Amino acid sequence: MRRVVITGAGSINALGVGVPVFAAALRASRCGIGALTLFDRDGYRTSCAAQVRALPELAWLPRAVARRSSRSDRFALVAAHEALTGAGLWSDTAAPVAQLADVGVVLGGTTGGMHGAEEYYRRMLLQLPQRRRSPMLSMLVSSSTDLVAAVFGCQGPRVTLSTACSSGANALGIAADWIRAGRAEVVVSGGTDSLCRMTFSGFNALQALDKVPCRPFDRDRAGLSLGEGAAMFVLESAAHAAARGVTVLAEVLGYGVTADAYHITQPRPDGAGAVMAMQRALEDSGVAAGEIDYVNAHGTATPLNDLLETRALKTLLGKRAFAIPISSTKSMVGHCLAAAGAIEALACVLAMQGGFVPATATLEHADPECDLDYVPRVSRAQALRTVMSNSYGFGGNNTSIVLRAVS
Amino acid sequence: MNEPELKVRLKRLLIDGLKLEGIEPDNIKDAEPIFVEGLGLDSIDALELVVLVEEQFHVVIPDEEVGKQAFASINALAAYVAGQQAQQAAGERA
Amino acid sequence: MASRSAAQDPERGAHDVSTVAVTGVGMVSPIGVGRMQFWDALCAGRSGIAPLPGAGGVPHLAARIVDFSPREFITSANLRRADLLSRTIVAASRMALTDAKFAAPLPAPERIGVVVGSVLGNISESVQYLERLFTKGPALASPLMFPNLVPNAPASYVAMEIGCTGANLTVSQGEVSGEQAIATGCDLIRAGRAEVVLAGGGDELAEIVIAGYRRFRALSSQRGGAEWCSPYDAERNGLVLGEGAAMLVLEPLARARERGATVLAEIVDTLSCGVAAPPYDWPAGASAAVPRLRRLLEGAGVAAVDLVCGGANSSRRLDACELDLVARILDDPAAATLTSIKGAVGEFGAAGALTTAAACLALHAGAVPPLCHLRQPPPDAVVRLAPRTARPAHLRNALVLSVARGGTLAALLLRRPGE
Repeated sequence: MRRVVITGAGSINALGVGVPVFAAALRASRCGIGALTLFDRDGYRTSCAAQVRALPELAWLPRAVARRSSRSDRFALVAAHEALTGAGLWSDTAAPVAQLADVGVVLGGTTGGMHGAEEYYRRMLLQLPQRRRSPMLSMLVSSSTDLVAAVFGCQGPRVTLSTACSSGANALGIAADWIRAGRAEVVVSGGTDSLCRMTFSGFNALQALDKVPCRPFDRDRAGLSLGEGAAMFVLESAAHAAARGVTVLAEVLGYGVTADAYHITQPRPDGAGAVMAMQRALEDSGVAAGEIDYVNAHGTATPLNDLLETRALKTLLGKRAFAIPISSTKSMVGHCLAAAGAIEALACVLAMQGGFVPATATLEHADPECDLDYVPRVSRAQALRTVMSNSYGFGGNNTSIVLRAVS
Repeated sequence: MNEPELKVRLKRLLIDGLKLEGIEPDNIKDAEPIFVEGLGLDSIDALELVVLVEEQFHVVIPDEEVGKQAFASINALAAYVAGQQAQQAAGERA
Repeated sequence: MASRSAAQDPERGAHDVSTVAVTGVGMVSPIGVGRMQFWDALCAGRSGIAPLPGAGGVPHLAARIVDFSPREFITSANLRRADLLSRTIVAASRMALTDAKFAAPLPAPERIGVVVGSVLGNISESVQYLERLFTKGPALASPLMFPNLVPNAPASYVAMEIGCTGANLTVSQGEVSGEQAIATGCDLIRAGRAEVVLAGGGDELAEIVIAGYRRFRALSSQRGGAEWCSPYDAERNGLVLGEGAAMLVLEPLARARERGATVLAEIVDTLSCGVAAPPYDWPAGASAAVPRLRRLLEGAGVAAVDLVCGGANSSRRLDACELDLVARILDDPAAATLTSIKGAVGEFGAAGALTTAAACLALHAGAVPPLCHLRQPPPDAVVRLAPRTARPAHLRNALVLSVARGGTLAALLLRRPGE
């Protein structure tokens, strides 16, 4: 079976712009969850969000594209640009260093351009003057995928995954499958999402948002904090990467995806879907449960998720569940919906590269029912070889990815 | 509105708002628990009911404890709504 | 190519998974609910396009779903709060499963996957939700409606109704969403990630959708002429909207044969690629895709294509793009017949799932789906266009072809079993 490696990565989220900034912030256990300022927050139970504070000037982006891009589009472009540049496949100044005509693109998205579209609709409804031309066209989640493909000239296979909170993880899985099946040698893949009133109000209505920055696995946890951003990767067949002589960041060993078939928001109480996704990921990767050194949990900080996830991890790993570090980086970047799975995969890559375990930065008081090593407050130095990242989507979509370090 | 009318309105709210198919107001007994096995309601239904009652009757259900008691049965809910509305009317007159 | 896991997992069986069979179809469409109604109406040249009730002025034609009672097909109590789009997709899934005639009980639920494609998802409730949010404030936003707004709600409801816990994915890629969902379903089977997959999709017609297309003057008659829908026609003048859902049952061909299932069609291979396109519009031409499409045909050993089922929707631009593309990829275009079902069901995002279902039924029945409104083929068309009612033909294969605004192209190569 063809091996799939990561040769480029890009990042933008509440902790900042660019992979080095993200890596440093993870190591320092910085919490990027602060005040929501993107839209009016009157009437909500919380004013917390992990909002991207500074969108960089995209000098390399054609003006016409920048003008019609949604917030999610721009996150995706920033991250894809960094990933392709890092992989040695793009340069702003020189002619394209490599033909990208056969490069595939598969992204995960949930809100797409909803942030702009809902504002346009709100003004129309309340008969307020419009600030910009209709952003309706960039509303679709596939807009980000098409834009990344258009800007960088990728004409290989293309699709957009939209499975809520596991979209980013599923996008990486599909990209890996394409490379294994020989559909493409190189695939740009990841996830993007932006804050918007629709999702903020929806989680608020479900009483799923914590008033303070979310505290995964904490005794006093009371819900999630929404975030936004993007993480993008260049996935490549190992042979193609070797032929190019490019640096490999990590290997994608495999993934597993299942459905709970239980409830439109609540996870299965017995965690069977989550356990099966992890088992399938291990089988697909040819890895035994005992080889997992670290798990990046879904860890949304809802009372229910964290409890059920703890149980699922114990079911899968047995005693070993108590022996390895497990953490939720949502404590630092919030829940970025479709981008979450990709951002968390990136956190795993950086952890393996940097030899450290990211912390659950906001975990202050241990919950006796979540009694695993959830790496409270501070990161720690530790060599990691094989790691797993879990994402559980609304509607019962469970995805697990297994990654391996390169020596 | 009088008490029987209020109860029918509340039952209609339940049926229409929570999309209870094939159920008529006559099928819902005044004194029986609303959140009972038979109707198959869950936490999302409870949250929706709070929103609908607050909107339609202009009352406030401030927290889960109050909500639990108010939603114990149609009788309890009708009493809560009527009580809230009476308080508001008194407040306006004062 | 076989998955590494297949060797490790005896439960997976020893089936060759390289060729995928379609063993059942189900649909909710403007010309009928279920395979029989749909196919009979399609072959008879009937169209579901009619004036919208209450609409004044032009444009006012659309193809709506009629006579659909969700509860005829949906049993799960979980579906009480499900939105209409989810109900159409769940019902289509139920019908497809019934059509596939599995012996009870169903194969292991953890081996049954679901892939749904949709462009706009639950757009009507999204609008209702926002309207309420913006006029009444966050405290009165609907917690019941919100979970239905995620694009993967239909796929989740399918899983809940059928009880299948295998790989569950939702794709959204413009007008190729239906084809991509089916291609992804095939990929899951080939990778050993599922043994059976329910794949397809749907989209709904809503006021805001009509308003959107109207703004871009994409609807028939907006740029002149009478209002009508005739894909590929020399006198076509814009699209007419529709709605619907279709789901297909996919499984490895070897497995289908072993259980004695009727194979409607074999999916030999699939392709997706990008072509340069103006933002949010169809490409004028798709010649960049020609080498890939030719390789798709050569790789499958298909020297001549008998039937091409395009996504043409009576737009000037898209239909011209497809006519040009077909002429370039076939060695003998005059020997092939080109058709599109949009004259019967209108245009909607994931209509490609319904097109693929029609292509399977065409191969199975040995009949070319008609271009029900065709008056005049374009003078320079080199490929044969389908007649106005179904014509019997020995069809060895069919190519489903579709292009999305933004430039994604998808193709599914189907073959009649035994060819």
